[in-house]
Amino acid sequence: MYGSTVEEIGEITTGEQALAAFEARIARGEKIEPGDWMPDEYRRQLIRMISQHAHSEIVGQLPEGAWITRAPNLRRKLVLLAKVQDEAGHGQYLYHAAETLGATREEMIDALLAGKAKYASVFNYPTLNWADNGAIGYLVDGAAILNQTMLARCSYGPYSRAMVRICAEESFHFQQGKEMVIRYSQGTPLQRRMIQDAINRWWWPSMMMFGPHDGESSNSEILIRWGVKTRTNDQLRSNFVNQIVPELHEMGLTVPDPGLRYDEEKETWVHGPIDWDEFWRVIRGDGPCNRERLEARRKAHADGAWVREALQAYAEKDAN
Amino acid sequence: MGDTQWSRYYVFEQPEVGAAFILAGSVHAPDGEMALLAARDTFARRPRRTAMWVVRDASIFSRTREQLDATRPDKDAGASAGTVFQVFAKRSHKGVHVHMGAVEAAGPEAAIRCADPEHGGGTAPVWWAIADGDIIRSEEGDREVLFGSSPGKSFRHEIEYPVRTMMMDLKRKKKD
Repeated sequence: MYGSTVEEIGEITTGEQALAAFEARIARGEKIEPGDWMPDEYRRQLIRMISQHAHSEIVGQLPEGAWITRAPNLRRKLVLLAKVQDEAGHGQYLYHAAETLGATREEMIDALLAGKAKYASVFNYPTLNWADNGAIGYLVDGAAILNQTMLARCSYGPYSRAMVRICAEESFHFQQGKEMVIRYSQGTPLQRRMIQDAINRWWWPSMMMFGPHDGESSNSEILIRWGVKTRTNDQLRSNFVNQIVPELHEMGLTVPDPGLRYDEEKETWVHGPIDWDEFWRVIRGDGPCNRERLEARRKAHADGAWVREALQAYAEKDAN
Repeated sequence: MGDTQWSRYYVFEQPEVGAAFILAGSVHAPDGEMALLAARDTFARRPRRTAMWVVRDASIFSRTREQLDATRPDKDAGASAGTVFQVFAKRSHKGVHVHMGAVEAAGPEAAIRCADPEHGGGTAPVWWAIADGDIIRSEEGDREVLFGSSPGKSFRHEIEYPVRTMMMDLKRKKKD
């Protein structure tokens, strides 16, 4: 009725002036909203980040989802069901946030199913036994929360608000995982071996979740300048190591990193070298479960075709 | 990027009975009824809402503070009989749109100009006016079905997992 909801900010004539005004808004801590002027690169970077994040939530249901039918008791089954359902919901928040920037659901999903879109490489590793669900909640969700808490302060309003909702729900995921790890660590010798094995397998993929080292991360500089990120990949990774390592030691568990050491002078844990060849191999599609994950998503998409068709028929009937 | 999607609907949610509606986000849907369902499934999976409104984006009339200050008020500004508008204000550039109240006016801009002083918008940088009839509302009788609490699902709260106490117990055991 009234056209678009574009909210122009002042009288802007040239691109340079527009950019300066935009950066001044970021410096004042203002949130950028869908109709506001923004540099094309800001839009492009956000669509890339938010859609990858959405895909990660959706694919992230699969490793744990495989254990819903094999939960050891009803309570654990309910917890896992709720957690996996939350991940689906988080994917929805994020797809909606990406849509506010002009990306369509169709093109995002198509890119994922065609294997063109990236998602967190950690979800391309298999869950071999029940203890893996504890390690995932504790390490993978623990790493994700550090990143998401930062993104809750991001300069793009819809992304930031999606993150606030996600963080509130995600804290239960982390706590239930941590509880499992603690209980396993204080259990029978077999249970202790199980959780140590799970930690050993999930440690490095979790460390890689923060992305390449700062020197190698091509997008970091602009994302920090525009208030999308406020911490670098290495800063977040270091926070993670300093949080988790002392706790694992407290539980009598070890970290599978022979290079791990405590720097007395800087009062910080320093990790050994990360196998970036493995990281890039998995990102490029050659991880242990990449094919299986995409196959599962393609099947789910195909199985849901009738819902989309029914909605389309409803929409057409409505229009006539 | 071409938009191959259905219309965009803005979603407003009410956190508790009597509280102001606030902007939650947006969904795409073939019509208002489906938009309301999508909004519920997306933004109210955890029961902490009492009602929701959805509005098609084309039905939202938007004015910035600069636009309001730059133009002279319409001749019909002031509360004259006409249409009922629900007026929202984004009270700072860091916040979201919050419902300020209903105003009867000849047009949306007049509604905003009426609401501004009356509802203490002050320096609010962005105002929205929506004709009351363009709002699709969740029904009072559906509150329990759509947003009812789930007391049996306490396991979704972090407080259910006493990890802090458990870690302290570990430390104590180590010392002994």
